[in-house]
Amino acid sequence: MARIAIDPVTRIEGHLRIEATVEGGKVVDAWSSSTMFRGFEIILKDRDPRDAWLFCQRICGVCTTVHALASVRAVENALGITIPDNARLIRNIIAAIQFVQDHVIHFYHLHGLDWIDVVSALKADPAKTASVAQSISDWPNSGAALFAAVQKRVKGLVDGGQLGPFANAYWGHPAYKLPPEVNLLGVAHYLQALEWQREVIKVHALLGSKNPHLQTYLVGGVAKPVDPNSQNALNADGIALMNQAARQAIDFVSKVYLPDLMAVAAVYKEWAGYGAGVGNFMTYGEFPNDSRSNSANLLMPRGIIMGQDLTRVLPVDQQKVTEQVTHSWYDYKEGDGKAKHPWEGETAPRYTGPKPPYEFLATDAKYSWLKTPRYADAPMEVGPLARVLVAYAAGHKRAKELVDSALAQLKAGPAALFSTLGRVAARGIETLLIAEAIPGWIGELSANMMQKGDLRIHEGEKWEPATWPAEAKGYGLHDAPRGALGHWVSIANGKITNYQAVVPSTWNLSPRDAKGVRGPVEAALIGTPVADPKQPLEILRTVHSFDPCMACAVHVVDTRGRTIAATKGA
Amino acid sequence: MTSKTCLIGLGNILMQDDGIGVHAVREIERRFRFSPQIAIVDGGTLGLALLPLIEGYGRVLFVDAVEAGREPGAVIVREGEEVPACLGAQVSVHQAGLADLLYAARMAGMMPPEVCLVGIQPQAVGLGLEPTPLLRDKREELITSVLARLAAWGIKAADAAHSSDEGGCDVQEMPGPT
Repeated sequence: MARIAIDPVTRIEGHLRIEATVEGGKVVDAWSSSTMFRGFEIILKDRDPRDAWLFCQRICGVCTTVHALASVRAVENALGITIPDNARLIRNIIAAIQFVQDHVIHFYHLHGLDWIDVVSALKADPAKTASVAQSISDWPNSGAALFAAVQKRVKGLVDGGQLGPFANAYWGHPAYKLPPEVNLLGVAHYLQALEWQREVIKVHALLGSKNPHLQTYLVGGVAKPVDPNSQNALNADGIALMNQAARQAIDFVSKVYLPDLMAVAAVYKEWAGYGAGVGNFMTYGEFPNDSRSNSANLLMPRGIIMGQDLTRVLPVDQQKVTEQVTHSWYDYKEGDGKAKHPWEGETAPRYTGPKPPYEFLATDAKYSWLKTPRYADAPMEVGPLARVLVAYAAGHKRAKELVDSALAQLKAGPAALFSTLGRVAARGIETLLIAEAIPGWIGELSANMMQKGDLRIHEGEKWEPATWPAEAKGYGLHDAPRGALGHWVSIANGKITNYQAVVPSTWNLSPRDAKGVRGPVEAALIGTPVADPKQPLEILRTVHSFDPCMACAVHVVDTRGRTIAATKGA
Repeated sequence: MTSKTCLIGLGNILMQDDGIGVHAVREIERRFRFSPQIAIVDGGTLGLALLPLIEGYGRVLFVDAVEAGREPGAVIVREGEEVPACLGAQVSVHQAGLADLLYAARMAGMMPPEVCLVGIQPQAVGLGLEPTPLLRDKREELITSVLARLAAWGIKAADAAHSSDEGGCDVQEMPGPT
């Protein structure tokens, strides 16, 4: 029996560590750990709750908008503030652009390389690649000359020994199955995605007044004025720019991302049989249709699916969210056995793990800096698959169309969704669904400004701490690209007394709970084939399908090498 | 030929010395005016998302905490090809993000012709909004190195308090010049 350790797993920012035991060419057990302390909550104590989002947006560079949104929602919930409609629309547009950009980048620049062999692209025939491209999409940039140019550029990098972010991958691994032409197509679109993202992200610069690190979040609304008669506000020019970016987003997702995803999925169909995970899925839902605090009237519905049962969508009650520390390097005052709701949450670190460098973690004891979130005592997978399954099971029309069409193309039934491939497909499907919703919000915003003369962006009635109750508690829910994100805040005498964030990657990568039940990624790895324990590409496929953001989960960036090291144990 | 210059501070300002690059460029932005103008960016920990920000610039200067195996507070300067190479061998605090950024830029043909990294060895990168006292003391040295690199590119720094409003620094976050 071989035990392998992969550390870190994320290509961009990572302190995620996976240990797995492999027997007979398959994973028989797995542990996921974060090896860096999280605890930014400590920094927020005693601060003005109106400033919390400014700190939260620095938790992670990939998800700045995400934490800022959850934070202002939590404080608004605590203080009983209802934001103006324009603020809801601007927040929806910012969040939707974040989703679209994030998912496309994840597919082409992170996860795609688990399926697409860059080195194999050198063997492709550019003319044949053009025919493949034209057979799956009417995207115009698909000529043989373009593919030949991309191939030449990759060859230059390979010959110069400068594969860069590709250098650590397992090129030539037997688990790579795409023909060279599809690999070349993937590499070409990797480059086109880079060019595309700069156009789409212009919406953030416009609405955020500043990018990176948007400055327009504000407890009670947004700090982005809307006024058709002002050059300094969001006006008709801004609306036109956003409409153009939304069209480009829909175009790229429908004509490049989804066709590529389906072309890859068709070759890797066996991955619909791996990576099922815990079978429980939770989403807070996202993109509110009205301005009520944590409104349940949403584009993508809120809900829970238990035990892969698509016939029932259960409601979400945030009171049932708890965190345990049985296997996490923290102490609870009442002892480790306790499951605490975030309002009562504690962040008292105590490392008891091995002194680095070490070969393996002591997984029988505490083994992670992540806590163990549970909903009504059960582990929950969060993220695109949870959102798409809940929407599908709830009868969401567009979600059903897109899911059924993808399943028909792959000649598979809904059971195929509970898998690594299902997770990858769900991410693409929801990207289109969300991108398609953006023009509607822009239209509403435009109608408010131009026709109704509604220029309100901020509710200031409860801005001054003198108007607040002596004590208040609130929660802010945001289903972020990586899944259910909740911020919980307690306020007394105008200051934060406790702040807890339960982030998507903590749900998905949680260690075992007090009863020894595995977290979603740990469970998903069971049964994954591993052709060569020294090159555990297959494990990475399933882990990356969750799109872990350990910078998020651990709140720091990489301080060590990025090498994906694998060691073989006894 | 005029070549536009972008100064980018990198790091997580919640993590003590990790945020030193951001703190340094913010201070430079406050204290100096440049001629010709330069763009100054708080790049945080953005990694690949910085690509649209560096595109179109002739010169990009990164300021970052770098794990170079030196004594805490040591300032290192790396040019051009040495930047990603240095990141490969010596592991920056944001190594993955910055190295990926530069390679992606090269792949996409968006690599600025001149790239420089002014790095400083951190002492501690635990949780905290302030750099360690040692790094705070070294900040002036770091800033001097940044100004020296800019001067070598023909960019003059004047004290903000004594310069006219003309020729101020162009704090441009997004997008890059076209």
